[in-house]
Amino acid sequence: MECKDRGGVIAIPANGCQVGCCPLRPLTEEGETERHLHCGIDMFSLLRISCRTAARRAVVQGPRRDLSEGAVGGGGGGSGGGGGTGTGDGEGTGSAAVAAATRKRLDGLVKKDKVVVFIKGTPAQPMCGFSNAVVQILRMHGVEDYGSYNVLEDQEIRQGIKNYSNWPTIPQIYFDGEFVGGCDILLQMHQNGDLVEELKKLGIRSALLDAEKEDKK
Amino acid sequence: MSTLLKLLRSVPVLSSRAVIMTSATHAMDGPVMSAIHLKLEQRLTPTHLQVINESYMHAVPPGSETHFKVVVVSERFEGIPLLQRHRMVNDILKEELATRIHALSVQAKTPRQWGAEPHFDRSPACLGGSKHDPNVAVKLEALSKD
Repeated sequence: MECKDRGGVIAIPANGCQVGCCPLRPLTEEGETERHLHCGIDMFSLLRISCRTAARRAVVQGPRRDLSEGAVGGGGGGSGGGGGTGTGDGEGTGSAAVAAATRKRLDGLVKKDKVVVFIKGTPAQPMCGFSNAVVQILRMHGVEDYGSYNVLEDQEIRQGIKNYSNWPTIPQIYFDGEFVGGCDILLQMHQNGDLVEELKKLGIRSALLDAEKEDKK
Repeated sequence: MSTLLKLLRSVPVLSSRAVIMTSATHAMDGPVMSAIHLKLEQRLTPTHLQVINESYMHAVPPGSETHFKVVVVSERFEGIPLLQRHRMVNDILKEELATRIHALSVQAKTPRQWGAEPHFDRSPACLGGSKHDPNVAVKLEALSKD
């Protein structure tokens, strides 16, 4: 269907946008989906993006339902207007190609640093209590230098990392490229002393060991 | 720092506010809580099981069933590493996790571990992340269609 704001052809999932908290209040029930994609506002960052990018994201990340006719416009809209997902495959080669590219990208990310976390928000400003707990635990151990990825800014990562580790929730923690667990597991490791040991294996000395030494003086 | 220590300290089961909302109150069980309870009972034959609806702690409407904590004590966890225990629970609840549950906190212990330390950790305070989260909105909508 044709975008009234910017021209071009976009595809809308058959069951439409399911986002109940969309800040763009529609005029009518039916109008909601069209309005949501037409105005090219990214539903997560509230930044303006092209209709092609919006449609591509809706197709890739939307609920698993039948899609309406019309492939996402060929040649791909991945201009990264809204804080780019950057898969760059844009040829409409299908979800399998996207999944493979995402997997490869995540593989790179989890191996880039010794400690890698996927959280909601950032270490400076976590947006979720469980993600915050992970950040605080790492901070207690003096681990400040680690890879941190905000899933709220990147839907491709948000869903992709769940598929990658076969783990349904965020936050997710990786040590040396290997999935460790979520907040509960990190907390237990912290409580039973395993975290200090695991950090040691990574060549990181936990700050708690120094704190202990200070106490004993 | 002291607030953080409070966060990380375990609390005795009986004094936890969350106990009020456990599945002991069968009359108040929503469909999601019932399903979680049933599936875990069937697959893990736990000696102790608590399914706690923690949605009230988060930025979702009253009556939601999106955030849960499960405390499950089972012989089947004996000799199984922690990550695998969590994967077992996730697998049992995979349908609910795909469609209804947004957050799941799991405490998985063997009877021996539970006997030595019969309490679980409280969940951290919400930072409002669910409020503008489209993923949560999808799951809330599914609930309202029941």
